[in-house]
Amino acid sequence: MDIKKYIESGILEQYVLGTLQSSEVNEIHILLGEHPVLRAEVMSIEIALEQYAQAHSVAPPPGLEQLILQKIEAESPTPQPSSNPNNYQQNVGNTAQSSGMMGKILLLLISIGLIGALFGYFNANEKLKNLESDHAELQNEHEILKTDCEEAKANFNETEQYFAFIQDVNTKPIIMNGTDNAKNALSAVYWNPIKKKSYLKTYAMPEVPSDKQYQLWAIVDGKPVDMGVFDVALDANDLIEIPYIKDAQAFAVTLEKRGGVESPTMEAMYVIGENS
Amino acid sequence: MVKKTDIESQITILLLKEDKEAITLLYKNYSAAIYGIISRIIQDKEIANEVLQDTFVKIWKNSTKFDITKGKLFTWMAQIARNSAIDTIRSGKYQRSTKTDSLPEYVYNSENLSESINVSDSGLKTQINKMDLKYREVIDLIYFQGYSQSETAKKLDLPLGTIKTRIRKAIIELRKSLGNEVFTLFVLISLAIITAFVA
Repeated sequence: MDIKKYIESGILEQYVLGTLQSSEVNEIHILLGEHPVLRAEVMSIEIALEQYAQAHSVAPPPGLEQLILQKIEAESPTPQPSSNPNNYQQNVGNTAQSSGMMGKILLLLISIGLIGALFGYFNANEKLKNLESDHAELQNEHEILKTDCEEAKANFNETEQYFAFIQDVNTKPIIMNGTDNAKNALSAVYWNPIKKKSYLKTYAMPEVPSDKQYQLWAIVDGKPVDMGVFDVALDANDLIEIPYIKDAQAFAVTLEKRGGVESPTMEAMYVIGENS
Repeated sequence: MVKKTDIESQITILLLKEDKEAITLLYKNYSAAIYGIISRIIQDKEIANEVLQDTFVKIWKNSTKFDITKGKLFTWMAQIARNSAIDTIRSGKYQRSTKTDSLPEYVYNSENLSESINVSDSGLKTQINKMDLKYREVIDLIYFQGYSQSETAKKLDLPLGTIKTRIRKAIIELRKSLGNEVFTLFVLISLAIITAFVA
């Protein structure tokens, strides 16, 4: 069993807070017997919460203690301290007295040394654990930032490429103006015969129902050639790369059922522009 | 702090011997902390007083069941107090002003809690006040208001996993603030031992 992982799972905190199921509690009781490290951990959590509770103390109203003692008296009418409460301390005293003075001092020194070492150990352990947890957190944050950074870099590169393409003297905009279906619609194809590339940019296209999609067509020798479908809402800010068609005389966009059709529905044409 | 450890073992022995002196000592040392927990779960003073009495009677009745190998005295008592308070609320003996039948709907209010911090140790108090509110609210809901983990998740509108992580984080924060006191603890325990040997 991985003790470290077990501690980090937070189950011991839940145990001390009393939020676990009884089956889990029984399991912990067994483990506590087997692993002193877990006992030390639980103890430390208990001390923390006890301090927290002490810090939030509220003094009960006076007189309650008397009532409690009366109730307890009523619960058990015969007083029954089974033996003298001082026995325990007396026993300790007797053992100590039976050994010599030197033995006593030696025992005392050893005890103090042991306790010191123990506290030193727990203290260092505690600090190490805190550091480890801080480190894991930082590492996590670092990973997130790294991903963000890479994403931003990729975005920037893409944008830079678009920008270079648009700026190229050989790039020619083919403006597609709205038809009667949508007078204000506007899109453009950026067409570069040297680089043999072309991009579509939508400027203003009416929103369409979700079962429909716009489809771009190139007109070659008077015949429409399918250039693919696109969604305006998703791609509004981006240039969409489209296949380069050498002899395109014009470009047009029609509104078709989602996924596109083989030949354009002429009544559903929204924009058209000639490649002059 | 060490004085407390000392008293704790003294009380434990008295409890196991079923000596009533244990209750007097318990009351003196822990009643305010226990009452702090109860009065946050039950706002009605009269009922909170009753639950405090019940708690101590239960502690007395179950004194021989306390098992030091399973945890500290205070954890055991706090659990009894919290269960008594929650049982009282659920029994319907205590009619809450709200309609829901799970737990008190009064909104968690960190200011209320801060106000009632009346610890003499200003260092600890500062540390607690410095704690991130998002950790404190989780601990306060579970430890002081008797919420279960899933109730806490629902209340704060967070996934259960986040609640579990925050519980651990919160206690780590608390332990950090106590870490500085460990050395003092050591010195005081050593002193206690010396005293025991000399006596």
